[in-house]
Order: sequence, then C-alpha cells, then structure tokens
Amino acid sequence: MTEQDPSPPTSKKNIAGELILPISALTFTFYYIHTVIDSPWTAQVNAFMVGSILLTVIGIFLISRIVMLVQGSAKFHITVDRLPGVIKSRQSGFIGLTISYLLVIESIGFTLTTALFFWGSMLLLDYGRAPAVKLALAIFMALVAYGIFILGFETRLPKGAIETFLARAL
Amino acid sequence: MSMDVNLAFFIDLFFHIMGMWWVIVPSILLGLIVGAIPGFSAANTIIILLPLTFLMEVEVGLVFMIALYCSSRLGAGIPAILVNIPGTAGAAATPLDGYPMAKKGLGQRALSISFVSSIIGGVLTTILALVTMPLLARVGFYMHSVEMIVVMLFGISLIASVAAKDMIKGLIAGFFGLMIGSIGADHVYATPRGTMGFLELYDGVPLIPALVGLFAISEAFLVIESGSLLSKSNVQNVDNASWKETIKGVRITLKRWYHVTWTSMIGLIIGVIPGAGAAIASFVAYQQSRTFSKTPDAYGTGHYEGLIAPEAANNGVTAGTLIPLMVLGIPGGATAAIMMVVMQYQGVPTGPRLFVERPELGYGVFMAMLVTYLLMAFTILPMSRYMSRVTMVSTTYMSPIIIAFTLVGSFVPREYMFDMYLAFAFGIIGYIARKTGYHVAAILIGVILGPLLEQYMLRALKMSDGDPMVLFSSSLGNILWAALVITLILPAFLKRRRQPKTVE
Repeated sequence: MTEQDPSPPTSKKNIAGELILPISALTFTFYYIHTVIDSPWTAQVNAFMVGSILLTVIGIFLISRIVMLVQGSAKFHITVDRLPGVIKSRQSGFIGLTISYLLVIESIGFTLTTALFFWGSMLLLDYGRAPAVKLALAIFMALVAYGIFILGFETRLPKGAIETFLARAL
Repeated sequence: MSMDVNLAFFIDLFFHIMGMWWVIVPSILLGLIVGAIPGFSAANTIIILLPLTFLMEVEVGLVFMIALYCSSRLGAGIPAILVNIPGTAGAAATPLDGYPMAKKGLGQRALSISFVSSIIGGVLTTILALVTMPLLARVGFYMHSVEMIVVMLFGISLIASVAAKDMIKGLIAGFFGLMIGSIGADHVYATPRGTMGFLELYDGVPLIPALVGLFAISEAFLVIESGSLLSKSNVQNVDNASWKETIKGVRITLKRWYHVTWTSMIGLIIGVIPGAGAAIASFVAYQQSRTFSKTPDAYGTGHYEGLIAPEAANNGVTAGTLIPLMVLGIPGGATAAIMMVVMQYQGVPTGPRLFVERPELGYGVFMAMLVTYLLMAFTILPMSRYMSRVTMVSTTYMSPIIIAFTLVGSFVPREYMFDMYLAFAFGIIGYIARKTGYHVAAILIGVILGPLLEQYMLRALKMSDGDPMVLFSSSLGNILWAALVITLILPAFLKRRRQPKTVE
C-alpha cells in the first residue's frame, strides 16, 4: 500500500498516498451516476447534487497537487509501506487472519472460528510467545462470546459443531 | 382515576420511583454493557427481553426500560473515549475529543467529564421536559421537510469543522461519505443506485458496519504499528492517576455548567423531532459548541468542551424522544415505539389521556429518568478509574478483541453475514483514510446524514413539483437558514476580531 510520506519538513511531500481516497471517490461517483442515468429525476437528485460538488472538490484537489508537482514542492512516488519489516508482517498477517475469520466463520461456526482467530492473532502479535496460555485464553474468550451473543442475546450467528454440542450439553 | 398533580405529588412520585432501585441499578449495568457493544442498543435489548417486560407490572416494566435506555446512551460513550469505538451512532462525535484525551493518558478524566455532562444533561432536560411537555410536543408539528433539511445541514456543516486543518481533504471525505450514504433504492420508485448488485444494499448502507469499520476496525489495524494505545509517558499518567482525576473531571464539567446546559437543550429539542435522533443532536451540538468557542482550533485535540457537547446533547435526546409518545401518543424513536407496544399490551393509554387517567405513569416515566440519572452518578462515576485502565491493555489482546466483537456487533442488527464483510470494507477505507490524512469522522457524518438529507429534500421537492425555491418558503425555515449562515460565518468573524487583540 502507498502511504503519505512522513518525511521531515525540508523534504518534498509525497502525494501518492493521499490520492487513493479521491480516486476511489471519483470512480465510485462515476459508477453511481452511471446507475441512475436512465432513472427518474427523484433518483438522480443526490447523484447530481452531491456528485457534482464532490467532483468539483476533487478537481480542485488534483489541480493543487499538480501545481505542487510542477513547482517541485511535492513528489509522486509509489512506495510500499515504510513501516519496519516486523511490524509490517504482523499487520499484514493480522489483516489476513481477519479475512480468514470472515471466510471461515460460516463453515465451521462462530465459537470455533473466534477461538482460532483469537489464538492465531495473539500468537502473531506476541511473536509466538506462550502458545498454551494463549490457547486457554482464546478458548475462554470464545466461550464468553458464545455466552453473551448466542445464549444471552440469542443472536443467530453461524453455528457449527461446537454450538451444536454446547446446545445439547446445556 | 383522578389525582392532584402538585408539588407533593411529584415528591411522592420521586420517592416511590427511588424505592424501585432494585430494578433501576441492574438495568443501569445491563444498559452500560449493551450501550458499549456496537450493534447492540437499548431497543434490541428491550425486544429480546420483551416477554419478561410483559410479565412485570406495567410500572416496573416502564422503569426497567427507561433505566436501560438512559444508561445505554451513556454506555455508548465509554468505548468511544477509551478505544475510539462509538457504541452507537449517537456517540459518533464523542471520540473527536474524548479519544485524544485517552491517548494522552487522561482516559479517567475524560470518562468522568463524559459521565457528569451526560448525567447533568439528562437531569436538566428531564426536568425541563416535565415542566414544558405540552409546549415541546408541538415542536414536531412545526418541523417539516424544509426545516429538517436545514437541521441536517447544521449537522453536515460539522464536516467543515472536522476538516479545519485541511479543508479540501475534509470536504472530499465528507462528500465521499454523502455519496456512500446515497447507496440504495431511491425513495420514490425504488430504483437501485450504486448497490454494485448487492441486494443487501437496497435499503441503504447500514450504519453499524460503517461506524465500526471506519472507527474500530481501522483502529485495530493501526494500533499494531505502535504496540500500545498509549506512549510510555502516557502509560505513566494512567498508572499514577488517583481518585483526584475523577474529581478533577467532575470539577471541569461543573465549571462549564452553562456549556452542558445549552448543548443538552439542543439534544432535547432535536430529540422531540421524530426521526432526528441522537447522532444529529451530537453532531449539531459539537458544531455549535465549536462555533461559539474561544478556542475552536483546540477542538479535535482533546478539548473538554468538545467532549461535553456531544455527551450532554445525546443524553438530552432521551427525554426529548419520549415527549411525543407521552403527550401525543406518537413514538419519537425505536425505543419509544417499543415502550408504546408494552403500554398498549398492558392496557395503558398513551397521549393526552395518559396524564388524565394514569398521571403516576405519565409523569412517572420522566421521574424514572430523573432517578436513573441520579443513581447513575453513584454507580458509574466510581468506575471511571478502573475503566480507564482498558487503555493500558496490550494490542496483542486489544486488537483481536476489537475485531471479533465489532464484527459480531455489525452482524447483530440485521443478522446478515454481508454486514460483517461491509464492516471490514469500511475498516480498510478507514485505515487508508487515516494513513493518508483524511478524517474518518467526516466520512461517517456523510454516511449518517446523507440519506436523511436526501429523504427530506425529495419530500420537499415533490411537494413543490421540483421547484427548489420551496427551500425558502417557510418562515421558520428561513430563520433556521439565517442561523445556519450565521454559524458558518461567525467563526471566521470571531477569529478576525480576536486576532488584533492577541497582536496587541
């Protein structure tokens, strides 16, 4: 991912990172307008009112950044995140675990996925220290979450083998 | 049944409700928990416990619901201050100044300020509601589409304040939020707009996934970089904090009593308007507080008044929401609607008949609110010292807990797996926004207020056959327009006026 350059005041400002959001907003606005182009005016009011203001503001922003580039007070340089390697790998690993959590939860159920997620992320973030303690903690926290959300508030979270077993046991 | 409504009646009622502390105190604790978990609210907790409520005597049931309602409103501010996760949309403006205080190691003081301003705001507005109920109930009748558009714009103008340091980037974030808020079927012909083919987005973007994604999930990814919420010196601050910090928070708030008073009044008035709610009230109060502040530039860095304003306002909403229900029989919000169901089930009339036939219940609801706020002062305030220690928990444990609990919280309101994915997507947007200098609060304001603004705008335009001049067709609307223009111009004017003085 690109990132705003946290460089000292004397060096040039890297504008690559701060363009991500305006470009995403621009793309989404054009897509949104495309979805309402043949619709009645009631569906178009917001697209044209809010959309036109957003496009204008983004236009001003882009012009200001181009001027900065031309004047030499800014640079455009796509860099990979400048965080130290250890932190970067922990962060990417944690984001990966979160995505896995979302992908797996429907297949194996809330409690087991939550326990595995807690265990995996705690190990990852603590450099693999004390795995047994963390496993016990992860199981405990997952069971607390089961108690609060499924038993207490009767939330219909995805159920798997653990939920079926606990429902029979309790 | 007829009863004399005089001072003795109210004193009697106060002590009678106070005698129900055994219902109120457990409800306060339950309310704090459900308020603090994003996705849970007083409304859905009451729905879950509805069968229990039907079994209770009507008076006990109402007291239970009121205590839960008030305390959940207050509870939503706790995670907003400590870990930048607003428990509900009503607390979305709280982290703007609450979280920077917690990051400085002043979480205990911030919680104390939040609790005291919530309690004072709640007590004041409840007393005012009791006195001026029939008058306030009419506010809703005067607020039509045009007036509501201006109220929404008051809230949206907060984007400009949030963006004060980099106006263009703030406006991009705010209007991007408004665009995202426009996703969904249009209100007249149900044409799908910007839904990317997802049926789950036809009703619009659900608020809780947006809220937890932008604030909590992005925060969980960010704190890994620092290893802790607090720097070493700020950990020392939390470690050395004593009860004096709580008392200091109380003193700071009491010293700003006028600020608590007028911001809670904003909450009360907005609360009376059906469909408006705590999120709008807290945004408007924050914006107005900043407009009239002598130190507007300090907002967003841990300003006491920036924390007091949204907390006093969103607790002012609680009394306001119940006024239309009690006086007119029209529920002003989800919790009020559930209360109405319980009252009807128990054969209790709502509306004007309530105060004639069962005055002890009509006034009792507001008295229960008053007693709840008073009891909260004794139950919650001492907890601030221990709650603030949450900020010292290592990110090893904090980040996974935030992710798991907030993802579940985003699932709860609609029970769609899609909402968990959506929360994650908002988390990524929030993470990129924060890393590249955009304010997530500006995006959220757009997401919350965008659909409401469109709804009222369309209603007004439909009534006038598309004539935009309808926006300036009502006297009250024009007064509000003038007030809006004044509040937008005033900060620049005041700044200019103060500048020569500082030079001298």
